[in-house]
Amino acid sequence: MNDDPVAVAAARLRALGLDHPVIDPAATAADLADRIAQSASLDELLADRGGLDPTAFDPRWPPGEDPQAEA
Amino acid sequence: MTSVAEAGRALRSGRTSSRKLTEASLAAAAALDGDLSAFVAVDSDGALAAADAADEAIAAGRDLGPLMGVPVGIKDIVDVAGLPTRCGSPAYPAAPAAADAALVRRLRHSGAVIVGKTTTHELACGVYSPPVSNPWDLDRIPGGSSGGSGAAVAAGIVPMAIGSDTGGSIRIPASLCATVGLKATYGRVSRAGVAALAWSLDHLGPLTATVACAAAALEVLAGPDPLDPSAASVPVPAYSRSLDRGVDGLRIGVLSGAPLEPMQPDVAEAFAAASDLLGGQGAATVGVEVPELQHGLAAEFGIVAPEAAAYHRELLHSRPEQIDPGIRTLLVAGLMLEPEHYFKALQARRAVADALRRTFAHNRLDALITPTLPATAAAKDADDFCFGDVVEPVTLAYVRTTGPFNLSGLPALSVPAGFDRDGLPIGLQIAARPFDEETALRVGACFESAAGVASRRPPRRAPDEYVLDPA
Repeated sequence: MNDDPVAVAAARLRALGLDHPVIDPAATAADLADRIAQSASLDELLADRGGLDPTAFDPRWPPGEDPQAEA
Repeated sequence: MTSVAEAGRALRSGRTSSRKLTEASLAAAAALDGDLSAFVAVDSDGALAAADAADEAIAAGRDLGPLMGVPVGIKDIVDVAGLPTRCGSPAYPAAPAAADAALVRRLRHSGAVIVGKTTTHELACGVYSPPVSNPWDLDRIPGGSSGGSGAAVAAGIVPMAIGSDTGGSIRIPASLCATVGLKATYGRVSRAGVAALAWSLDHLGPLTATVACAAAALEVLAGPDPLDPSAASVPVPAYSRSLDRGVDGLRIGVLSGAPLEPMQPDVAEAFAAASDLLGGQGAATVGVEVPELQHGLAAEFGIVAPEAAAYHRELLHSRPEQIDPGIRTLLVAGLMLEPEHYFKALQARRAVADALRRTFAHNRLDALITPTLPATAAAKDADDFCFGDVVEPVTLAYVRTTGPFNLSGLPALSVPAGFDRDGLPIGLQIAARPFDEETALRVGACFESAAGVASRRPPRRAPDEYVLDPA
């Protein structure tokens, strides 16, 4: 298994049909690393919310919300 | 700057006609747009035909409402039948749209005169909006992505233009150009017929000359729409009726801490003065902090990337070379990131929204104020701001104060609040509870009246006689 992030990015770009000359695997790998780090920064916010639980997204929000009801 | 109200009074009293207003608007666009680049298309024939129809309606005694006969601009991600929707991108077709977007239909039914399409940052994904210039300083950006709308209103070419707002794209140009900008509650204005950036964060709304203009515009724009399932069936108040009620008795939260810091000293000074002014008008001001908002940018971009990538997937595959490199990188990331990151960002959005909701509830707030932006208009060639020792990309600096209200869906209004030492505009952001745009507008109208900064005009502007001929 190749753990070189640039090679991994290049393989993934090929798999997605995005192996185009203007899409640079090295820049893509670096950008993805930044975004994954940014995503990891949310762990602190979500620590008390039971971890990764997609069902925590409430599709009723925002229509119908009334914050005053909590007052 | 001529307001909708002024234009309406002049029209109904017979002091002017919609044709005169429209001709003035078209003349102003022709005279100024070489410098401003606020419009990508001007529809003179269509506008004059609509103006004549409005004049006929007035002559027949029919009153279609406050926008009747008033020239407006439409951001170029919104479909207007007969005009292309290019989204600021060479990759989008030049073929004209077959039908109007829902909000354009509403504008036409209210008698508004569509002058043309305003320039957007490419794919509505950026804050620079090239090649648009800021009427206050042509070497500065107007903000974005609704930069053409901001410049057109600030320069007095039109008293109102439509913008969209995914992370601040109405309020950012409003703040940088000294116009009013209103992002209503998510679901208040239909998105049908509008190109998406990130569908769960996208909002439509007006940039206007005055708060009263914004109130009048929202009365026309708001309401349910069967073509947009997110458009809410919530009653639409007569916003204009509350504008003169003042702020006496209201509780207004004054945000500090994240995500406002760092900010430019002149912005901090103007924000403190704005808070004092509202207190002096009778509001109870309450200092509040919402630490969860420090995560707003991570949540915002964690949602924008995958949603934008899904929307533009075909474009990314077929013509990636036609997409701006920075936006292309965002779209590629959106397709390549594992779904867990998207779901985490959605969950973080909920946490941010809950934190804002608790802040309103626990402090019994009617409204919450922040500086719209931590900095004034950047130079066109600037990538970063320097806040003392802190260097921050311009885009992130602008979005960190506006984005939380896209994440939460809360209504947020930007009103002119002053000027920095270089004469560049500073904005005040007023957020309110879900679907309570009425309070945001009421606070904004009181502030606008008391602050007295809205009458200051930019160096590049339409001569008054262009817009409203008293003869």
